[in-house]
Amino acid sequence: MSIDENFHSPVRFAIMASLVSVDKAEFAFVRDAIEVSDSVLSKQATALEAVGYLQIIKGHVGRRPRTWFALTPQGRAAFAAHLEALRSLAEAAAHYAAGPS
Amino acid sequence: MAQLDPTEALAQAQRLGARTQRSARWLARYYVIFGIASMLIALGFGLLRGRTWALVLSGVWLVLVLGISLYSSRQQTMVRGGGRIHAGVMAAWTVIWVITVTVGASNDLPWPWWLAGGVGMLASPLVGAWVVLRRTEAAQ
Repeated sequence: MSIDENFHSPVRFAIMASLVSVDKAEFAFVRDAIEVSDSVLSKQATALEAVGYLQIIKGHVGRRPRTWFALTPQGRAAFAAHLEALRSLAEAAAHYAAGPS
Repeated sequence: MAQLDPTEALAQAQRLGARTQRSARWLARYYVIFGIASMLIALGFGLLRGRTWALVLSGVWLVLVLGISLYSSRQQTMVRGGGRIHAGVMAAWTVIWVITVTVGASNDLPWPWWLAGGVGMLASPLVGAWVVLRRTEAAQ
């Protein structure tokens, strides 16, 4: 279990959280879900793609171009480990806040 | 978007995951519509005889298939394992459809083959819908 520095950016964290429970999601869906601009999403998705955590799939439906995001197996594993580390931190913080028993 | 503490980050991940899973339930709706429509068409073919009815039912089926294809093309998410689920549902549905059409249409059967075929064609999409709902309700 370890905190992954690739998810320190809240936007990157939110992209991963949006995608972890599905096979793929469209660019516009992720943008609306995490409430960022097209350019911010594009930049952070490209960063995740560069570390091998995200696949960017471009295609067409009819004449309309569409972009899809899908997590790679490596990305899923890294995000699961990151969430586990966050849970440990949250539990430790709650324990500390409760004081000595 | 500011940096979150671990508890807030986990809560945000839960919220975003739940939103995506809700969106991915469209495939369950697709299967329910497809299953009910195919059962009604099978019943129609069994109960309404003649070339005219066959043409009308084929036209209705074509419109339904085009409609749900358009609906699916507009969706923005795909459930985990959606490709495999869809392949399994459509393979089972196709086998039942072929059996219903070949056995039912080529033999003068004493029992309502169209009813059995219709229920079979409803069953495989309903199983698919159930699988989709289970996968989109699972905790992150």
